[in-house]
Amino acid sequence: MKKVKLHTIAPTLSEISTKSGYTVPNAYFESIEDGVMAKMKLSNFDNKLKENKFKTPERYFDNLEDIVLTKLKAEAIHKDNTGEIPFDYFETFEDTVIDKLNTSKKVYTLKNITKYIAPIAIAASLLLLFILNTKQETVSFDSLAITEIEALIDEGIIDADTDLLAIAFSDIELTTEYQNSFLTDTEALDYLSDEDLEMLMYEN
Amino acid sequence: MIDEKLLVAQLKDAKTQELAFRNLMSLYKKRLYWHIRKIVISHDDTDDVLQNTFIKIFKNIHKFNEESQLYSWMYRIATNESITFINARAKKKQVDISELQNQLVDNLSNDIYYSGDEIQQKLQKAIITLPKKQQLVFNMKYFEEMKYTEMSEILETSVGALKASYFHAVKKIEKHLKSN
Repeated sequence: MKKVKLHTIAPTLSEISTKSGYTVPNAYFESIEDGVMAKMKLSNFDNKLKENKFKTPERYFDNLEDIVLTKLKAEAIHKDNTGEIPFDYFETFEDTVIDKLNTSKKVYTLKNITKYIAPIAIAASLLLLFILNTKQETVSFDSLAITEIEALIDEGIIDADTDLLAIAFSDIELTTEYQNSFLTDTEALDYLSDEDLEMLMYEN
Repeated sequence: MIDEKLLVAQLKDAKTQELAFRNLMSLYKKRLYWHIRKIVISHDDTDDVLQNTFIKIFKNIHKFNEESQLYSWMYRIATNESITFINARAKKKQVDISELQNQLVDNLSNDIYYSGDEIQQKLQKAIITLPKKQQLVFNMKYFEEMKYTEMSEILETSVGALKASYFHAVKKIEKHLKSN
């Protein structure tokens, strides 16, 4: 649109200078190149600073989901099982343990005690018998010969008190030679009398 | 007359790109500056946008496919950078773009880098009442005296549409000046 035509359609506008009125600082255009180059270098420097220098183990991210899920499940199980600990639990833990150690009693294990009931009972009974029936001299377990004890057992004289024997002779170690022994049918029938068999039959 | 093809080749070559880039800035800094200044109005803001425009040109020169002319490609980048800047500023101030432009033009009288008289300031006020595209067309034609063919390539609009747009802009501004 030429000036003449502009004057025709916009006379007011055509009177205004086409100079916008905007100005720039002195020597501004002489420094633009240096300003841009400096900004670019600064931008590159910033980008280098922002580069991530940390690394992860190889294929770390491939298994991360599985690891996290496993850990979450493990924590859930742990939480279900343990619940919360009492207040001051860890602060008083040492004292609690030491108190228990001081007050605890020796535990005797009655391991395979049933196998030793008969001989122990016999020995104890013999000892009592001699103490009660013999007033002239003191009888001890050591003074009895094993053969004498066996003879008394065979004759059915001894009535064993198993509890008393277990307490009195806790340090006696008994053999387990009969542990694996077993009786044949014939031996079992011979062992049991006719009366015993009848009793068993009625009871069952 | 500059050889644009040679300049582009030098810009894409790592050995020559820095020197070529300096030449490019020397050639286009004023034209781009005034184009940006009409949009963002403040000198300091224009300086920021101009620098960012050149940096963007440098970083994206390998994407320039040479189907259009280099100057029109750079003008498009400058225009986009300016509009993006104005939008971001308006968003930051939580005002719309026309309100922001009003504030900027109102402040021109206190701007040490503005020497326009009262009627020139009125013209600036009239320009910002136009739609964005018409503002661009009017500024490029009225102040920069750019050819329609060049504007057509930069704004990717037909010459006919640009002529019509400029005609409408002139009529609106004339009306605004008369009524104020």
